Amino acid sequence: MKRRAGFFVFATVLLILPLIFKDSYFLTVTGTTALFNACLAISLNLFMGFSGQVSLCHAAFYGIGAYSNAVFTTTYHFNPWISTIAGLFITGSISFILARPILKLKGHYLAMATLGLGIIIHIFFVQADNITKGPDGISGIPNLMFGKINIKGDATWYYMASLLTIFYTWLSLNLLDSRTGRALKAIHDGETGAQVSGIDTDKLKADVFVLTAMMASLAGSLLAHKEGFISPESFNLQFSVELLTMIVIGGLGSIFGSLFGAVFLTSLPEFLSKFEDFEMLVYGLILIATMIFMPQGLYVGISRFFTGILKKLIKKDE
Amino acid sequence: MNDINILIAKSLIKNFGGVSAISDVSFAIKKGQVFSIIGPNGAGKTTLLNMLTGVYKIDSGTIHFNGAEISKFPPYKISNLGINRTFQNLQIFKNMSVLENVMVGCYNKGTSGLISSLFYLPNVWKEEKQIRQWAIEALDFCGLSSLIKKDAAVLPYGDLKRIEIARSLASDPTLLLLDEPAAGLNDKETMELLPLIKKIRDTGITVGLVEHHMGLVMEVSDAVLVLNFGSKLAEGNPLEIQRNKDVIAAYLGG
Repeated sequence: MKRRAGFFVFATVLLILPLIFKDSYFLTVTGTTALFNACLAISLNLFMGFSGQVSLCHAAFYGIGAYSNAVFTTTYHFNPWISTIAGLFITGSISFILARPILKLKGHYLAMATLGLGIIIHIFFVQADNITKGPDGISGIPNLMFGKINIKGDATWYYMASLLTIFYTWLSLNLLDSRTGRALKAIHDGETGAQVSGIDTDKLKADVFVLTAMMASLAGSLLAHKEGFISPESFNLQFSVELLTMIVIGGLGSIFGSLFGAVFLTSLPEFLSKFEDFEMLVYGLILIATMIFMPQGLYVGISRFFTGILKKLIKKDE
Repeated sequence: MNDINILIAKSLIKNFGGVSAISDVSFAIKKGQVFSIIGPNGAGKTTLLNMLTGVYKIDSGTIHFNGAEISKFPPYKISNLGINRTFQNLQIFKNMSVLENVMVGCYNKGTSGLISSLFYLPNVWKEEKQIRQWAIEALDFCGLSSLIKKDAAVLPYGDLKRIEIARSLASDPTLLLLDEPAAGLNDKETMELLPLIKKIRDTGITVGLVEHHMGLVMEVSDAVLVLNFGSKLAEGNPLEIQRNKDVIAAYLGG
């Protein structure tokens, strides 16, 4: 129940922020990007942080969603929502077919296999130029419509991204408090123990792989309409690694940690831009310092720090 | 107690590379018994348990459980048929609370899937309450009620061993296999194990016990299988085993 209370506070804060910071460029532009990344981080964390697997192709699934909407709406003039479903279907099929053989692998080997898959999908985006228009990308993607309401403008997209983030957070919190969620955590802690407890670990891992791929795909579909233009470089290996960094920095195995990590790493460059040439250096130093001083992740580390202070204050009162 | 064989193993063989871990071992476990498997270190006791639960694939031979052949089943299927087990070197889920650990044991009794869990449909909510109840009962049964809210990672070894037993019991097994439950426990803790095993047997669960602690084995067992270098050395009731010359020789190195 404590977790649920946190969820409602979080959802309210997210939706109220634009009312407090009116016309804030930082909130609606960087904030929206951060929330899109948060959606990806949350879904990746379900697969990595909770189930204890590794994936380096999350950005590629994000890309399939984005490209599906871009291609179907511009080339074939499909309705955006139908394109989104098509994207989910394509991502679902690819991940479903590949899940079993890939997830037979563990640890570094699994990382290598997903890395390969991510690169192959990225190469497809770059090379299949009769479909994807190659490295130039696809422009002129139409706006998303809710009936007759046109979704455009930074503020509207901030709300769209917030709703998606709240939705994903809600799904993940639900999952983790259930029989299936416990089974996932069991796989993380010991696959043999999970199996003898009656859990079909191969099937469950595959199911979660497909689920998280589709979550990434949905976010990608929306992104295509938000940006109006997409190109392969948004979905390359580097972005997969960045997502991985987000969930590690935020705290593996914590949903709010993923949110935290995504928001932190997305907005950090904005603050660091005043360092100019040294931007990347400072960025790297911050990451290293975080991992040395808060190896459980920022979210866990900071919340422990504050509960520590609280405890000390309470002791003083006594 | 009746004479129905709940588990029949025939001519089991397992090799690791060129090393023969289990060679031509056959035995049967009767319903309601406490069936112990003993033997010197490296005799193949744990290997045998791993074969019975599908953790190791068997090279040849057959295992029948409740009349169905399970020799080639993966562990989760065997578990769902009613064989559950504990581990010598523990398979506790360290990132979970004690209650959650035992709730995982109830997995086979639940039905909610990935999609219904994601949306927390009413059936999931109901099932959660039920599973929580079952888990609390299993912990009560093992005398662990006081640990319910603790994190598994912070508990001492002896408690973790009992939590594993509780987790296995939570699945309502027909056959419970205990892999050296007394290993690493002090005498007091070991002797607390004795009434627990008897209590488990009295609920009608058949118990398979792999154990080194002879006091415990002789006190609680209805039948004993002795392994030595992967082969069956003797089989019988505790008294027969204690008098068996081969067994004495194997243990004393005679």
